[in-house]
Amino acid sequence: MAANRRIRNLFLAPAIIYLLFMSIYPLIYSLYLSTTRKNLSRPYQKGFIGFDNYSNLITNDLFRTAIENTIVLAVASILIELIIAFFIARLFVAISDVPGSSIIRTVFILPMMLTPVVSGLLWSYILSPSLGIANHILRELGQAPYPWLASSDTALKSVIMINVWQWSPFLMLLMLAGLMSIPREQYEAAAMDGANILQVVRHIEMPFLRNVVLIGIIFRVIDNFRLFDIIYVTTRGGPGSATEVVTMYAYREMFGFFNVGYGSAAAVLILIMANIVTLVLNRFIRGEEGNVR
Amino acid sequence: MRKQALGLIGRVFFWLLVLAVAFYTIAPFIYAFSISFRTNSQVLVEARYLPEDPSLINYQNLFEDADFMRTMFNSALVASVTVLFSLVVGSFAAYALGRVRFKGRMMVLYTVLAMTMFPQISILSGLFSIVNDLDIYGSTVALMFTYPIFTLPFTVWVLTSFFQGLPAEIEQAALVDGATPFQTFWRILVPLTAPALVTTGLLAFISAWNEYLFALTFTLVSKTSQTVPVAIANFGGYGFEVPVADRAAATVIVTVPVLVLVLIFQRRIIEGLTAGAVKG
Repeated sequence: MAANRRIRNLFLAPAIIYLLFMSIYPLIYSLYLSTTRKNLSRPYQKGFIGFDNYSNLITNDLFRTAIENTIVLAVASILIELIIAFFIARLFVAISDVPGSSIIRTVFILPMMLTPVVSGLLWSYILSPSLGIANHILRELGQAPYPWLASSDTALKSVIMINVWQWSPFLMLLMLAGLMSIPREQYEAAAMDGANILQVVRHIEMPFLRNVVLIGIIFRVIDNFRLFDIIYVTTRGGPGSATEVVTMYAYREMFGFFNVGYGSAAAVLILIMANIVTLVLNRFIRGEEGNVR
Repeated sequence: MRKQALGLIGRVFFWLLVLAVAFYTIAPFIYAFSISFRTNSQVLVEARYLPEDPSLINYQNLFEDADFMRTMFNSALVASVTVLFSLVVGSFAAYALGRVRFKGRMMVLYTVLAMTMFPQISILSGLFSIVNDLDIYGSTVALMFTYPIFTLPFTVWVLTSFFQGLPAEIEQAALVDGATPFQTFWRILVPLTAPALVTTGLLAFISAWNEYLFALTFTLVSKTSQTVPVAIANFGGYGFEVPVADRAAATVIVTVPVLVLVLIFQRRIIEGLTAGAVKG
């Protein structure tokens, strides 16, 4: 027993030490910084100010816009992704016996493997107002060109489109794994009872996918809260504040304006929001099934 | 089984849908590929589906550009070191968590799981101070030091469930034969988990290769230690030209390594991606 404990400590130590030093400690330090007025460009300006950064943040218009945009981005992206992902996952189930279908599946997951900076750039070529192929196609079809990322009415929608393109494959993979695990007998029984396709989806597939999808949604909500790369290379939060999101806001405060204390408070709020959503959604996972740990 | 129910029209419609899905996915790649064979001045005149006069000049410029090649090397180096560190340290920890029962094990596991979903921005200001204090700001070492923050928890999580799945007899037999725990781990369990090591290693490599926030924060100031995503996002171009076409070629070059990995290891990668979420 004693030997067991020594071995366990020995094997566990490197990872624990690393994560304590590089993950937990910086988190605590960031929490501390969020209660100070530390600013890198004014080294003399220090000092504990309690929760002032936080109260300044929640009354700041730009930060509120950032929160609103982040929520719109997350909700819209995830809803569209769910629809596309379910549709495509069923498509892949249907063609799973066809030779070559695994290649099509691999092609479809490529976007989620792509460097997000690159996917932002790819789409900025397509969506460039005067020189992009999207408006070129619209003009050929006799339609008026669309401003895409360049106008405050359409910029957030365009970012959502890029986000959906890149991340639908993730939910698709989870749903595909879920659908493939449904026993064939269930489908056969449904066919015998004369169930139509909508009934099969509603009564067999939906319940089976429920937990996988909820876990996928948790991942995607957090991904959207920390979305940075795509926005940084396409709009940097603009035009105006049309695509300002919380991570962009926190980053700009910390490393653009050197407002480390204030920026840290924004970053801590992102973590808190992510935790709240995770806890709430996690409840749903356990809630009905009870047996999924 | 369901396909027999579809008539000819159904089947045509079905394959049109498959084609539409494939097109939606790859069109952006193809368009960037097409731009990369045009010159900057051509790109700035009008949009075209295909290059009017395909040329390799952008690729030639990039391969002759020592700075860009340096960033490719930096990316590969940082990602490789990150993978090596995550796999070694991660498999040690996964062994302890997966094969040894002890109090507090679940707590450690759930903390690790929480860390896989951490928004990196939340620790960035604290991390910045550490990187500064260690005097590695502006160097690739800063990235090698910090990337395991997001690769290690994932590695530990996936490998732990793999170790748990191995039958207990294997280990007992080795211990009875007088092998030390370390020998058992290294000679017997690690080879058995090789498939999982490949999967997690690949995913760690790809996420390190793609990472932007830390790279931007820690290496923007130093041209020689930037990784590819930072370099591409801040692409300067050659001479006075707006670097659209060069940059398109650069995006193609960065994508190729990931593309090759995904195509070769498609099954493993898909398994790893689903395991990370489904087993949670």
